[in-house]
Parts: sequence; C-alpha cells; structure tokens
Amino acid sequence: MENHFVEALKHNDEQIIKELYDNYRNSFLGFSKKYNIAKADSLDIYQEAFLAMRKHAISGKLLEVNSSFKTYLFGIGKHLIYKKLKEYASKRSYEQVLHKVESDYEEIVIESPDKLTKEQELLRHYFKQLGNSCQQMLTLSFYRGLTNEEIATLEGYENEAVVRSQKSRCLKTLKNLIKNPPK
Amino acid sequence: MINETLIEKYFSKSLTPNETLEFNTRYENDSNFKQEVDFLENIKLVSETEDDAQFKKQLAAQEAEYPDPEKSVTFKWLKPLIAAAGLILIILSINLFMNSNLDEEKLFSTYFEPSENVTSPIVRSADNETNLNNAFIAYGEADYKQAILLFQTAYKDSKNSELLFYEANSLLALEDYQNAITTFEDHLKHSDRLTNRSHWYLALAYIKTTQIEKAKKELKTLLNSGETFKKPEANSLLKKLE
Repeated sequence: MENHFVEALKHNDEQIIKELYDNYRNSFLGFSKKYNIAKADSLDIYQEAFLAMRKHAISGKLLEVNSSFKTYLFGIGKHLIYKKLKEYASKRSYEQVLHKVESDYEEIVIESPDKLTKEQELLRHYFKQLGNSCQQMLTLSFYRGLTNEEIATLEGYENEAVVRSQKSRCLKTLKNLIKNPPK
Repeated sequence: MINETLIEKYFSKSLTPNETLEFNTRYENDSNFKQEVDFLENIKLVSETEDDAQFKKQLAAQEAEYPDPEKSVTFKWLKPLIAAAGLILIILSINLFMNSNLDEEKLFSTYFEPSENVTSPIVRSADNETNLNNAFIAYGEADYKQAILLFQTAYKDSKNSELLFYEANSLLALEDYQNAITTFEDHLKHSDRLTNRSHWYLALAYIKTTQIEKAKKELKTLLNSGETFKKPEANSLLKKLE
C-alpha cells in the first residue's frame, strides 16, 4: 500500500484525506450501484469503508497489505455492501444478486465494532467532559498505543516525564468525574 | 504498586516476552493491577469510539461539500434551460444593442449639430449689449450654458418664439434631452419660420431617448411640410428607423 496514504490516515492529514475521498467517491458510487444499493446507503458505506481504512492504518495492518489503496478501500466497501444487502433481505423479500455482479475487487472482511456496554457508555460520557488536551492524551496513549516518548515528540511536550505526569493527572480527573459526578 | 511502564508497554504493544509473562502474572494475581488495566482498556475503547466519531464527522463535512443530490437532479434539467435562456438573452441584447442603443447613439451623433443662427445677425459692438445679441454670441461660441440663460431672458422680454428654438438647441447640445424635448415641444406650439425645423431636432432628441415611434412621427411631419430643411437627411433617417 502507498505508504504516504497510510501515514496521512494515521496522522489525519485532512488535505490528503480529502483528496482521497474525492478521488474515489464517484467511482465507488458507481460500484455500489451495480449492487442496487441506494445512494444514501452508498455514501454511508463509503464513509464507513474510509473509517475502516483509517483504523487499519492506525493499527498498522495497512502496512502489511500489498494491494493499492483503492483496491483495499473497495474490498472493504464490498464487504459492507454485502452486509447492507443482507440487511435489505431481512427487511423485505429480496432476491440476492450478489453473484451476478462481476467485480474486480476481492471482498475484505472487517470486524464490526462491538456495541459499548452501559458502563462503557457512561465512561464515554465522562470522557467527553474532559478537556481536549486530556482526551487527546488518553486517545494517543491507549487507542493509538503511543509511548510517552512518542507523545512528547508528537504533541510538543518537553519530555516523557511531563507526558507521564500529564497523563496521570488526566486519569485522576476522569476517575474523580466518575466518583463524584458534577450535578 | 502499579507498574506504569509495564502498562505503557502493554498498550504500545512493545512488551518483551519476559515482560508479557510478568504482565500476565500480575493481571491474574493482583486485583488492583487488573482493575487498572481493565479501566484503561475501557478508555481505549471509548477513546477509539470518540476518535471514530470525530473522523466520521470530518468525512460527513467533506461529503456536505457535494451538491445536494435532489438539487442536482433539478439542476440537470435546469442547466440546458438556463443555458438556452442565457443564449437567448445574449442574442436579444445584442439585437437590441445593434438595432436600437448603438444605432440611436450613432444616429444622433451622425445627424445632430446645433442649428445655425438664422434669426439675428450678431453685432459685435459696445453699443449692442442686449441680451439677445449676447445670447447669440454665446451660442455661436458654443457657450451653451450661458446662451440658455440669455435666450430665456431675451424670450421673456421679446416673446420671440424663435428663441425657444435656439434654447432647445442649446439644451440638446448639452445633452439635456428631456428639457430639450420640452422646449422644442413648446416651440412647436408657436408658428414661426423655424417651426418646421423643430420637428427635425425633436426627432433627433426622441431617437436619443429611444422613443422611436415619436421620432418617426416628427420626421414624417417635417417631410410632409414642404420644408426643404434637412429633407434628404430626414428621408434617409426615417428609412433607417423603419
């Protein structure tokens, strides 16, 4: 996969992401039209596929992929199209046309994220009450899995010790919010 | 005590095999450690969900820059219509421009020059400081503003209707078309040697103010009057207007 695209997704380079989005949008709409997917659903699927691309970029999975950005994006898109067709089928009588459509893209199966539990939803509620810098700090530490050293470099902290104390301050604030919810 | 480094390495997936072993042992045996790791795992999940939501918003904002599909369907129909309407408008305005505006301007400037003084020979003498004499001097020198004032005063004094003709000519020369028209019309209420000539100038003033039908009427009146003044010009001008 094109390395600079992976990096752009990982670091959320909005300019490049916008270009990528614009580049393949119409072609993807044409692709999903072959499967009789409604336009609004196609756009949802396209964005969902983009999100999955980004998650795979962040997890490092994309770097191991040999196919091009487009092939992978459309592969994920195809998977989501199949899911959508199943959803259509469950709602009304629908003769599946899956195998009638010839396409150049191999389906790429992605995991659908689990729904958050009640506790996790509550945690999310408090997480959102943190300041932006704390949210960013915890996202980088736990979701992105960056080391303190890497966060210091990326976010411009003086050194990793500052990151460490900042992070523990954020966690403490979050725990306090949970223990003593503001009224 | 909770080992922060161990936890940091766990989340950045950089535990060595030995550290992994240590991590697993502590996770199983140390309830505080387990509680902390579970909590941070939840933060990981929650922050991922939030991060995804932000990215989705970003994509939706990008998508919003595309034209509304409903509207674009309308536009597909409208576009050729708008283009056609635009083209018609352009053709029409070119036509209008060619047939009227441009011609009017051109016709007026081609045919108009202020009338000669055929009424009162100018006397340049210190003894003849009358308004009338001064009016014609100003008129002859193309000092029309001055001429207008003097003609108006002279007309009040003398009631010589021919002076209206020169006043109107002065107004026309100053591009004060509305007042020129009013004054020519005033002049036409009188009958004097210059009455028929006023039809010619009034016609030009009407052309300039795009009142073509009125202009034609004036020209026809002039041609039917037996007046030889500007007869060939009136003929050719009338042809151009018809």
